[in-house]
Amino acid sequence: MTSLLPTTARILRARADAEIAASVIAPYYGLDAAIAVNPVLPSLRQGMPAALRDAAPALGARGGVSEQWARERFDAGRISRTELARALRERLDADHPAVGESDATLVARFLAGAGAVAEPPVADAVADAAEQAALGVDERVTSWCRAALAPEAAAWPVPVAELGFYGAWRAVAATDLTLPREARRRIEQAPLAADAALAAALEASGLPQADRAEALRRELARTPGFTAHVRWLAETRGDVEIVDLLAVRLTLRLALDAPLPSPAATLARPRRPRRDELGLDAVDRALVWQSALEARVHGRLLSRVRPEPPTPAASPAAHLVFCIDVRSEGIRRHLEQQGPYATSGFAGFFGIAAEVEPLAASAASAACPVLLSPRYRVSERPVPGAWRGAKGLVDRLAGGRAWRSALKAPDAVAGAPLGWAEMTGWLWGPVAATRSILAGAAGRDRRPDEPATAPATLFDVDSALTIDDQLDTAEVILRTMGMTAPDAPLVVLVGHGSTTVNNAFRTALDCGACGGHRGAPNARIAAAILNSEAVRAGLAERGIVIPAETVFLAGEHDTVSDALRIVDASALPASRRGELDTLLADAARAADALQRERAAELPGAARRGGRGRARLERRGRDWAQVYPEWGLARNAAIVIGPRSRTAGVDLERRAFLHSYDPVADADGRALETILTAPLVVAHWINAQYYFSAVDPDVLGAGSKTVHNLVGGAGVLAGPGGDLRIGLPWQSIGTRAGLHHEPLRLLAVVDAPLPRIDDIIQRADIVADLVFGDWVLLVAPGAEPGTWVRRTREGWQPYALDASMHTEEGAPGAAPQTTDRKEAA
Amino acid sequence: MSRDSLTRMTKIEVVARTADSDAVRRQIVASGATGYTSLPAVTGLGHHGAHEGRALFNDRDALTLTITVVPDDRADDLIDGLRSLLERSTGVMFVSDTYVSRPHYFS
Repeated sequence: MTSLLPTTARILRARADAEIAASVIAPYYGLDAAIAVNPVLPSLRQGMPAALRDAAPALGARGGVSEQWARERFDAGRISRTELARALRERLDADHPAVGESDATLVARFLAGAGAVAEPPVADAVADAAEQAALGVDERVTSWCRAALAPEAAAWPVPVAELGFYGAWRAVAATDLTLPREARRRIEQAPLAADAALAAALEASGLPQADRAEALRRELARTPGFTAHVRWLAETRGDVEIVDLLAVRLTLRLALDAPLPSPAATLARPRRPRRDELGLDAVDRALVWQSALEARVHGRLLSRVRPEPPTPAASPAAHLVFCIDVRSEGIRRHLEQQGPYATSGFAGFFGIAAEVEPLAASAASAACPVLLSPRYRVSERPVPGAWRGAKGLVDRLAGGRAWRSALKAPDAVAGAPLGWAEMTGWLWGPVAATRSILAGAAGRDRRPDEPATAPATLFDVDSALTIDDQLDTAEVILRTMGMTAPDAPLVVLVGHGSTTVNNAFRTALDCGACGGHRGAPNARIAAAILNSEAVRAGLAERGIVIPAETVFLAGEHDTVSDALRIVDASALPASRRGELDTLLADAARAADALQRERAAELPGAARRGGRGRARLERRGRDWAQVYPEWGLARNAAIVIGPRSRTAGVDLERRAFLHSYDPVADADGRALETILTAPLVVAHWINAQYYFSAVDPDVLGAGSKTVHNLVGGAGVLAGPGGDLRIGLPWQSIGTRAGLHHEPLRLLAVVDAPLPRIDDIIQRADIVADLVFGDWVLLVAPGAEPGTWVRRTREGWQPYALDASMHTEEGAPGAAPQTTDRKEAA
Repeated sequence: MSRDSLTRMTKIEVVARTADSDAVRRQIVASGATGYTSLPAVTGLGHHGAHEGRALFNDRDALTLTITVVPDDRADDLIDGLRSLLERSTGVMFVSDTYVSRPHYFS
């Protein structure tokens, strides 16, 4: 290895190659505030077919449903011949000779072609040798990533803070006795700066410039998890970037005489894909299966969306605004059945683009979608007179943190953890046994940041926002949710959160719109703004009159127990307390009904003991429970329109619901906001579930039962290897198979077609989603009850047979047999 | 004021998707440039049609204009580095001569 420094030009070229190489995978946000994201997000503009053809294989992943899995669905009747034939005709050119054939003939030819596109295994000695060398590099690189990206969990201190990711590795590796002496010498002579080291290694590789970006991409694809996490750290903290990761990899390769292989030498698949007799390659076939798979579910959901124009409803006793999350659909449906309640859907951060600093928290965190940069910070403070209680809370939490820190202190000393376990194991053994035996039935395990009792607090909005800013925020909230004339004396903004213990993916069950946090703080801030007299006076000048008796309250829907909790109830006059009591009683009945519905789907829940809300709540407290809830599994659609289109129908907790009044939005600004943000977030969630389901090994996180945490960065499946991105298996399936079928999002938009077209033309992201076939956008057609779908070619008639057959795993199907123990 | 009293340098402007602009800025810093100016959510009409500014609840899917000024002797390396970076994205780059009154700020 040479220690001569490359020129600036070569360094910048190497940096560009590294950035291009990394642009195949989306940032991975870690688990401290888990955010769902399309793992091939950088390929969004190229469209889903291109992503399946290029981006997913570049990561070593399968992008589409497998031929075998889809064929099993067909054989089981989940996909009908008619649905498959329809999908085939959509995929084939209109003048393809097979289009005119009967369904039976066309499908038979398609099914017979499965073997024709299968790629035979390639025996290649050069590729095998390269693979073996790469495996050794992988092991060392992932080991370093674990130590450097989660130094608090490292076996011994690493000087990352002082020297950076690459610099610290270079310093440690140069004295690493597990490396050969010559390798250590070469590492010591490597350039000090990461980009210079990368450039030097690329020059030493001898690869032509044209091959370098692709060669680097293949290197990164060997560890997609850490690559994705480093991308996120580069965007946020900025103290590590993809150049660092590649510098470590390539310098190590050179040191170990494992040169960077040429892409041509390791090309395992032919450049020209094999085609069946219909002319379809493997990706085409996957897309055909995909459309066929979606037809029944999309058709059924669409058939339930009311085709008639909305009709005014009687004044409700209370209006509850829930997050658009699919889990809200169930509680809204059941609550509306209990009494005169109206509900709406809105992104669960309620327009509050804030960093929120909870009382006694060590730091503030962004409580808004990752699409947004927080505009301001809002701190939680004790209400006047509650300072004594607040001090007690702060002291208790600080004491708890100190205690946990002391217990973990031996972990930072090499060799000490084993002795520490020997010394203290006798103490923890009975505790663990008790928790296992009682399994959440007694006591209450809490998250470390969740106090048993808390003083009365408020969010200090006035210190964060001027009155004018509060007024602007309030107007945006009300206009976007279509509530320019509140119709109820009580309006409750309901965030959501998931109460579980011993769950590394806990934040993935919290509110994504709140940045992977619980939603109550945002609801409290929004309610405080909307109750402000000064804000209401300003709103009236802007044409939004909130009646004096209307009170906004904040609440939170616990998605494990379905309980509704009201926060800051003191905003309601004591004389009106009865209204709230009635609402809470009805909400409790709605929760019970929803729990019965959910229990039929949760593994083991239907046969376990307990009554009412306690039954599922206890699952959340059970530290051995790997299925506390299903999260957003089975999501398949988003409906953007007035609630009157979906009220009273069962959308099976599969639809995001965003309220929208097309009449009140003549200029289309509210719809543009919805299509450029909530629709994007819904797609990210849908895509994360999709890719986790089609390739759980590469784009999913594997089974929870073998996870090991890497600080807040993520999990490993077992003791080592790459960081696992995506969702754990227990979020998408059971031992019986997939619970979440990989379906794209059907976006039902109740708006005039020209208005939608204008937005597609103005907003690249919407055009990318719609024209890239990532979402299927439909809108009401000219005739009542008809639908049209937007494609590149324009608006096309869209009609699907709404088969009401029960599909596998759908509500009403036989209870699943897998329980948490068996799921291991 | 006459340009004779100013120092000639090279101004490089890049319009790229906000998601790609981090890499642009990293490239600028790595070239030895002493700073840059970043304008998020720029609007305009270009090869891919009209571009709106920032959406109300989405900062990410917008265009960002990044501007830097470097001495002429550093410009070519940076221009090549940025062209390499933009090879596979939709960003555009403008290079022009410029004049500055405080050359020590830029070198």
